[in-house]
Amino acid sequence: VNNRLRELRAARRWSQADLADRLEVSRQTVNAIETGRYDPSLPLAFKIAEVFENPIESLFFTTQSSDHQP
Amino acid sequence: MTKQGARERKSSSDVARDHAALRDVVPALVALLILQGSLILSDPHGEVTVPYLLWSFSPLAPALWLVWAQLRSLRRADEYQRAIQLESMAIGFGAVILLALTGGLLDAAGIGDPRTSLQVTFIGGVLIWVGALMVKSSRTS
Repeated sequence: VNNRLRELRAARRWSQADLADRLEVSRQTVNAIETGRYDPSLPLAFKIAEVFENPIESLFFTTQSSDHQP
Repeated sequence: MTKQGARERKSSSDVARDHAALRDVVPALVALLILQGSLILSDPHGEVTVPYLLWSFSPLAPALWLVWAQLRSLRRADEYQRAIQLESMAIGFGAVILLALTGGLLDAAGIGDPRTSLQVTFIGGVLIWVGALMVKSSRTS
């Protein structure tokens, strides 16, 4: 599963630690999700969607569907 | 990106977890060192009395404290950290099984000393556990 976390975080000029603070997780976890080493649980994915005020399906997508992403 | 991440500050939950882990682990380690040290210094060099035998088990208390601290650390960890901690423990556990089996086979063949095998198994298992955790953590730090 790919995601747009880094792109959205950069647009808000947040550091990984800033995002981690908002999600109440470690900076290491944000890094792991951004680099695709770890897929978050559903509760954390919903929290990410809430923080970025974006629907969850616009944040996470499979490799096949990534061609259709903006 | 990993290098950029390394320059960043820790998140507030990281800092809180680190402080809590230190509060749990440091007193247990100090107690373990004091008890183990006193045992080494008070070696009876002769007949072992029942009180001394009981005293010789005293380091088990801080060791249990350390196990409790590890459990608390695991509960405090977020989902990704918990996953890598559990994977590292599984690797360490596998290493302990293999080292214990090797020690047992050597003992059955009449080679080596069981006490040395036990020490190698314990220290080797802990080192491999910690090493695996460091490698896994470094990939996303």
